[in-house]
Amino acid sequence: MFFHNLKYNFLYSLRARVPLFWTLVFPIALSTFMFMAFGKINETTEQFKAVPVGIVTVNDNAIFHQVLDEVSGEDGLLIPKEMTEDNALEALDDGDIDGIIYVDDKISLSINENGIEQTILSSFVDRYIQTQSTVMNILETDPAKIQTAAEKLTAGTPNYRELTVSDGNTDNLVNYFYAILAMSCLFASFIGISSTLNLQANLSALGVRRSVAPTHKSTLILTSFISNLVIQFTVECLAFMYMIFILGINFGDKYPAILLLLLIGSSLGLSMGMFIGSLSKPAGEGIKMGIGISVSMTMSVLADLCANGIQNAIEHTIPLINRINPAALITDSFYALNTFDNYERFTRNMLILVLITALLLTRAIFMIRRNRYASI
Amino acid sequence: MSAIIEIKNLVKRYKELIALDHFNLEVREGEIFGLLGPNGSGKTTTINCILSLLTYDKGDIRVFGEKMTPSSYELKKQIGVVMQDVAVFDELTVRENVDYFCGLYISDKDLRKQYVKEAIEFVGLEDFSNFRPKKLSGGLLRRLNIACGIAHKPKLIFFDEPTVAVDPQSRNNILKGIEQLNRDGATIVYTSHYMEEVEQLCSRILIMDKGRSIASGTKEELKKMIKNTEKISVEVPHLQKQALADISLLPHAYDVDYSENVLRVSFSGGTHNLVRILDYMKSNDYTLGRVYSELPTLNDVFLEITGTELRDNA
Amino acid sequence: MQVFKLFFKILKSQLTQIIMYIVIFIIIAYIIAGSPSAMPGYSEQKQDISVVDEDGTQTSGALKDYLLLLNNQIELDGYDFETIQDELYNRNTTNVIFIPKGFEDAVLSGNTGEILDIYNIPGTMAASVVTGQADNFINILNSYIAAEMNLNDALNKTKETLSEKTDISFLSDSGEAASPLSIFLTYIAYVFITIAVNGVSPVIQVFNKPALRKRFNCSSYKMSRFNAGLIAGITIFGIAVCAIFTTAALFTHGSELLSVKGLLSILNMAVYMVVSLSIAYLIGSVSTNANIVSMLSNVIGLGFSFLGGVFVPLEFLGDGIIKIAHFLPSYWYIIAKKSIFNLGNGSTYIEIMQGMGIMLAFAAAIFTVTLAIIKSRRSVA
Repeated sequence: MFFHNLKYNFLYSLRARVPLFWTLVFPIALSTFMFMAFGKINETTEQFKAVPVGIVTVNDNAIFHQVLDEVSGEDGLLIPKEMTEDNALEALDDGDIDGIIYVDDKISLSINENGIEQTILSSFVDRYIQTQSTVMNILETDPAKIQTAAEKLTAGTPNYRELTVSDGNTDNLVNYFYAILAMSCLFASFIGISSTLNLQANLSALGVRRSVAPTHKSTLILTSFISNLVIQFTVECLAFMYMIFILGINFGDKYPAILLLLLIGSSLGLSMGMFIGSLSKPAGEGIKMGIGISVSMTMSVLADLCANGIQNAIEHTIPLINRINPAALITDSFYALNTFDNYERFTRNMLILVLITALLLTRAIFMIRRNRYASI
Repeated sequence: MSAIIEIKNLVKRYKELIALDHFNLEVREGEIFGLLGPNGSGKTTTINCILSLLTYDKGDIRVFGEKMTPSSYELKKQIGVVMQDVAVFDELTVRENVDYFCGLYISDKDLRKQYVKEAIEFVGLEDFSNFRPKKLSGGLLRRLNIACGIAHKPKLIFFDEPTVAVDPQSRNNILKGIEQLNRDGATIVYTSHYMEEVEQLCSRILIMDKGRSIASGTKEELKKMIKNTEKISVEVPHLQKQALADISLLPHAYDVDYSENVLRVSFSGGTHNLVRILDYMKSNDYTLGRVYSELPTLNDVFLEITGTELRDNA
Repeated sequence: MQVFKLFFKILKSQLTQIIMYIVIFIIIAYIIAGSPSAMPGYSEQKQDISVVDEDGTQTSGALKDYLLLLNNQIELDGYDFETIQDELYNRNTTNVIFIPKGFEDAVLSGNTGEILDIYNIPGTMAASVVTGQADNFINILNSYIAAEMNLNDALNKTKETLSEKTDISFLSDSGEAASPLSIFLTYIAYVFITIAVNGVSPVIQVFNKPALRKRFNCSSYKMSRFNAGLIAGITIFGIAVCAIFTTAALFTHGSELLSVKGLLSILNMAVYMVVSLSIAYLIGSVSTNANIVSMLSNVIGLGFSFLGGVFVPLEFLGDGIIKIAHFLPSYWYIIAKKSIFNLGNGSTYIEIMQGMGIMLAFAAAIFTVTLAIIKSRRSVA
């Protein structure tokens, strides 16, 4: 009886095309679009790249050129190009260079935009000017110390240590992909809703037929849950594998924990669907699906599905929302796994997710197990 | 013959509305029992109460002599249900649907295989066994619905309006099938608001209205309950008022009506009623058109007891 | 007239959804309009940083002051490992700088190698800029100390030196300014497709129901009048949506809209609406149920937007994507819009007309394909 039910629940869920579209095809399509559109946007806007700059020499300045040579080249700060003024202005206009340095008795800079590249250029020139002025100051006050003092100016070791907190993926655009997976987990609610409707005599004809059969309701519920969970989990793994192997998104390397996360996430989505499906009001598959979609989408949007920063803004204002929003818990768990070496935060999130799942599921089972209704 | 279903003083309320009002029913083994009543009279509510899908306020229901509860799995095994709404999975094929529902009753694989085959043959869907329900026409879908309900060879089968919105061919197929099931030993409870079907099919009938049982018995018993035994219609133009008065004085005649050139006379008992009317016409030199004599139908029974037509939308 | 009236009766059922889209979009548009646009003239870009002074001396204070002169201080809820990581990851701060105890002593003894602990996201521009500023300060201070100045003088001299700045001339920006109207118009590319598909496709589906089709075909109603009524309905719907968005734009960016740029933008918007409606007509004609409409509207709406330069500026899209984008009407809408805003600044009317022309060609092609599909289907049925 158990395997008979399991088999047909599998067939049913596999052939229910609409939920599969939303949990598999849609996330894959969405992640592809996002990847194509801004998979590399942080690399182009945020990551350090040598700044191309035009050099217009009015009066030759050997020292400045020497300094320029030092900061250019491989892994350098700048990519200087000697140019005539006309060429330089044109290149600046076309965006081929970010600024023009005029080498004269006094060094000056021309730019046409505000941005971090321009800040790098001006800092570089500032630093040259300030170093020069330091040397002049010392020569004025105590020329004898100039040797030791100048050494300090070009100290070999930097005065700071750059530390990172994590070896994980610090590109926060990966958040979008976390959110897509979270959304897909919550979309498991669709199959949960339709399966549950089909179990309840007060909500569907199929429910009547199954209620009059000599099969324990618990068998029906359990087999439906297991088959849906297996399918949903497989779907999540496929979407996840697509992101890792085809799109090459860096999710870190804690794969067993990620699989656990996807499993718990899927059961949460499914339980949410069963909960919505089991409510006697509002009845009707259409409206229940509507609730499922709006709840899942709202939660996902709050977890940065559409725009990065929403979850962060919530964290700084009403953090409680992030602690109970399943989508936020899922994205935060991905982040914690990718970032921290310990599993503390991941475990905390998992416990909350399991708790929410248990509450929803208990309530749903309690409702579905009822066999007798005041009205049908 | 023992009672398979016994309902005593069943009361079911939906908030204000009383759906079943001290309702009594007895279905005996081997019969086709007709539950007849207009839409909303409480037929489906009765079945749902018997199947213990609905809670009820008062009364006693026994099926196979036992009290039916949601966990009466041994009782449920012997019951088959064909509901008004088609209850099949759109995602499963015809055979898979029948197999799934049969599997809820029958665990033995080989036996089930045979039963499924027989059920599909029974409703004549052999050529469609790999079709999904969406591809089936309305009539075929109803047949699939029946196959799903009876594949496990139940001893007691409920048919709740199985022929609503079904083409005549499928309808005949369904009615014949029900008779076949009955001959094979199943007791049938059949609800409908089509009197002709019930009259043709059922051995015993209960007529209900507004949650109450109005009359029950065999067709003949029911018809005996009413005054009307014969209705005679005669097409005759220009009938005089005097003639109407004379005819109403004929023995056993109790209701005379003349409109649109048709004379309608109802008799309660008596013989040779038609001959008496024709004699009267002949002696008064009336020219006659068509002449009918009808025996009472269940509709007349219903009409006489409730004062309203049963065939509300037939 | 019958078909025309019927069109709007059926459309009523979609009305809540359409109004929802419009309202959400207009609210977002207001928010965008409220945010400050780029300031003219050059200003050094300030980074958001968090400086923690554990030394609490004159020297550490001077360093902190200097860094915060150039950057904004962001106070964190805590300075534990996890909070720092979260805040860095979310880009609430770009650098967390710890000035350790004993900093001043280290400066005096000339032993400042790796003295500061700076948490940042390695390899970013912001990391490079801020570490450079801190390093420069300490280097200059070190050299004055090495020249045997006393601490006070050295700090003053350092401050003085660091106040020397390059002469910067700011040449006017030739690029398209991200004006609020421009952003408003960009996002319309997403909203129009969504509204058109969700509004029109379900109505077309109803008209295409076989039973209803047959009833129309049997009636004395002429096919040409049927089509004319349908097209009129779709057109009025399109005009109404364009009118709503024009009005909204007028309220939010009035002055900018009342110019040649603005009028061309409205025209561009209308042309894009034609394409959107043709897509909606196609979807309504080929699909048979509401599920498919919502699937297609999501995939097409998001796909067009991500790949066509709507959600992500074209500059950031790879060459391959741009090639694909040429096959999307949304791309041409964005190109035309860009040209409109760069008019007289490197763009010509020809470019604008080209963009709109290609969109109309798309619309015509989609419409023809739809008619062909309808025809082939009718001959089968």
